[in-house]
Amino acid sequence: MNEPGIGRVIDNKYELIAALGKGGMSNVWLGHDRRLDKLWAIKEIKPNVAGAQGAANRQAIIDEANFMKRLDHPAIPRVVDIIDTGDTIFVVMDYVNGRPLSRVLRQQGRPFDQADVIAWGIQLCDVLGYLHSLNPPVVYRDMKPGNVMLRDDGSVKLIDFGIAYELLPGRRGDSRRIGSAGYSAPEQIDREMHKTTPTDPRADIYALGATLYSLVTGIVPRRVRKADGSEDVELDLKPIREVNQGLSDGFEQVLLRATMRDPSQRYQTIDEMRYDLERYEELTQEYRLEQRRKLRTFWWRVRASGIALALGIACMIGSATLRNTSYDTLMHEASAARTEEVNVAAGNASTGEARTASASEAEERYAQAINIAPSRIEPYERLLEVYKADEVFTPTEERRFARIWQQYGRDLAGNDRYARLCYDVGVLYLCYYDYLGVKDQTDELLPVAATGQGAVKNATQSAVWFERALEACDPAAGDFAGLEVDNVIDEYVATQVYHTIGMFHTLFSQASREGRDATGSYLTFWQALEGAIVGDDITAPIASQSEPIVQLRLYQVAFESIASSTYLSGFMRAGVGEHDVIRMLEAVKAKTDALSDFVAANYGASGFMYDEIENGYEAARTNVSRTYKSPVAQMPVSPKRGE
Amino acid sequence: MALVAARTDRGTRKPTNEDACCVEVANTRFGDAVMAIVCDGVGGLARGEVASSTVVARFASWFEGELPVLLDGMAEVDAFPFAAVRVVWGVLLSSVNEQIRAYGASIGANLGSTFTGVIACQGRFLAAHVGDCRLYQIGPREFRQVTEDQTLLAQKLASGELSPEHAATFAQKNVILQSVGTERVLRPSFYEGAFSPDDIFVVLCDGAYRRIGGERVSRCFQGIDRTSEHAMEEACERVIRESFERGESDNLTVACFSGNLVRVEPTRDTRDFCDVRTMVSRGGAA
Repeated sequence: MNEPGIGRVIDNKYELIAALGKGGMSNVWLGHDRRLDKLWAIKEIKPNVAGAQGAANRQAIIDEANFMKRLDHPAIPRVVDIIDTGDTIFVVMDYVNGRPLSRVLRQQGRPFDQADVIAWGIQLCDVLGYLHSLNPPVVYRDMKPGNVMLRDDGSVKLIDFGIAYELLPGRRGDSRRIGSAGYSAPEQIDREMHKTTPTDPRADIYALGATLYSLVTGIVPRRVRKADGSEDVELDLKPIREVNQGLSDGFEQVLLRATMRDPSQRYQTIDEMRYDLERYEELTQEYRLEQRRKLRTFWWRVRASGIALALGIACMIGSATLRNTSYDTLMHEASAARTEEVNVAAGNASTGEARTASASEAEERYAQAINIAPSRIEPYERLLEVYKADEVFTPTEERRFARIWQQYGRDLAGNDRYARLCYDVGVLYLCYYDYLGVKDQTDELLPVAATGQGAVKNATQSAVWFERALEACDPAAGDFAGLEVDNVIDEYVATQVYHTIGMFHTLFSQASREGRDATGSYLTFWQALEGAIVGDDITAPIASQSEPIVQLRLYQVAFESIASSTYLSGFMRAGVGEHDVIRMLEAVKAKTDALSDFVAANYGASGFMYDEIENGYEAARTNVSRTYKSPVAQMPVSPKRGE
Repeated sequence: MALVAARTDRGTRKPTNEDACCVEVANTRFGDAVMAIVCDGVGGLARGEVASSTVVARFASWFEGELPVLLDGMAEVDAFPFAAVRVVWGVLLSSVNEQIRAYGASIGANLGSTFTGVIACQGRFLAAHVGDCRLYQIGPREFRQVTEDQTLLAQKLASGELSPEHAATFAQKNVILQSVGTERVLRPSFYEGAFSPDDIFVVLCDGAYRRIGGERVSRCFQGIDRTSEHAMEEACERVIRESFERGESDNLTVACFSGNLVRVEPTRDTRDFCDVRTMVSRGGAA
């Protein structure tokens, strides 16, 4: 018998004692290292072809094993040895004690508890986040319950990296359609979609969504063939609460978003999905209704406050002095580290060296200072400077910041610069947040514009911060908690406008999910854009008072909204006239032109927005005219503008 | 259909039950597979209990989680993979030995556990053994002690250093030669063999056989209705009762299963190993 079987000893060291799985190209064995008395999973791969093709295959296999060897994450089995015996390659890796979730599901005969599934989901986001953050990024492509091992301690491990794929710059995607039916994203599997849509990290987001779906409902997603038998298509995953009413509305939203057929409709990074999974309760219907109520009322909101402020100050005094020494030391160290990092960064910029993904020393010191004196606002303010310094707020930085805020943010309530801080964080999200994690990876990978409405989505993340800023203000009492409201700059009004802009995408996607008409929110959104960019008879445009980078982002938001056919027809239905749209578009173009000097000096942070507007202007203008001439435009409009 | 039973008793002398045991049954593509394990903790008080239940928990989790994966990979094999199980059990025992040793070092105490376990399927069995619990294979008229006691007493008797007449008065008769959790290198003994549907496998801790011996233990099982799980439970209770009557005061544990296991000829369709039943599984808690 040619095939090496049980009992065979590899490299004079590993005895193959049992088969763990057999496939076309490879077998997986349970191996026993007799010297160390330790078990390993040993993958046996046969290149299977003679000659030049065989040599190429062998090289590909060894490359893949070496790639695996570089991975270092507690939830990924390590590759510890690669043995080439000539006709066969053996890859020795950690044997994972545990059970595949698919088997546990089958054994217990009922779905898992939602809390467990969400906890696993967060762990899996971590692993996928690690893979996606590699350079070049790695798409796992085979997320499914069968590839997730549940260990005794409740943790999970990812196994089988057989089809994981490195996204090299310039490589468009794998030409093979490969994956697991039912779990893999449509662009990975569907014949038609595979041709037009490259597989990128968002495919893993789909598959993770489908995996969690299966675990929490007990339903194995299957693919069904069209009636004419022409092509198999994805079975729609119905909302989980149609399967089990007891499940969370918020979790349902996360899964629906993760498993959208169109990649640009999904979470754009695994970190975003993780963020929502960690806060799924905030996505519930009730919570969102509350958000909407706030939006409707904020224009005339007058908060009777004073109490919160007084309490806050009392707390600050109470906690002061005691810990001052170490706090001051940390702030001092952070500031020194910061100077050092700026110098190094300047050096790197000239050599073109990449930034590291780990927290800078300054960032860590400021975080420690917050830990010691959570009611002091200065470390937060410095932290924002650190984030802004390299012109991009990365998802990794965002996650660390979100954690700090979650833990300590409430200690700041009542601070006299609280609104100012929230406003600055909002601006950070609006203008600097690298929504797609592009800057964490390679610059060529995913152009922001390719996914459409990147700016509008960015604005979404900022809305909550503008809202916090607004809540901290008491205009009736003349208290603006640090926002500047003199004649030249009215940051309070700006905050209101940015908040409205930020809320739009949320309301819009909510309405479209629920099948409701979003016409009303289009009008509110449009008015906010006009206030920000064009101005009205009484007030000057808000944007012109802001920093150039903020201005540019707002122009980008407006531009993308007009350039999007969906939004444009929404504006049209809401009664916005062609003349108004053209006026806005021209204002955006003129004001963007005026920023050309700034852009030239800061191309890294602003070039993509500038180029998007400059290059897309003519097409957008043509599209406006065409849309308004189409038959749909002749339909009666309601509600009437201005109502 | 596998019939199983187990009983454990704290006894009258010790404040806690340091024994732990489990009996598990799985419906596999080879038919019933049964595993019975008895562990007797050493180290006193809570410590012995921690050691014995750690070992039992590890094996139960292996049986429920990892064995099915092993069997899945054996889709083209038509015999239960005893050879692989033997290697895996060896690794499991040495890793849990390390784990308990590290824990002991961290709390500055010596703790450990004996281990006697048996797994049976398709008319064959494999047993692994550390310390002084015993495995008996009891037929309708005859019985045999499968395991050899790893005690100082047994060692001295075997070498002729001690004559059988002096065994009863030997001062160090409770000293065991090795235990899981105290060894630098653990050397479990393995036994393999065949059995018939009429056989019953019985695993006992020292408290349950010391006073009454193998002869009386086997008599408790030999007369019973071998198709009744209830009769097997009663036999376990009888072993414990007779030991008490003869003055035993230690922890007592008896676990057993009948040899009339369901056997099936494996086909590809039956490869999915789905049904694992934990019949009895308990840690040392009283």
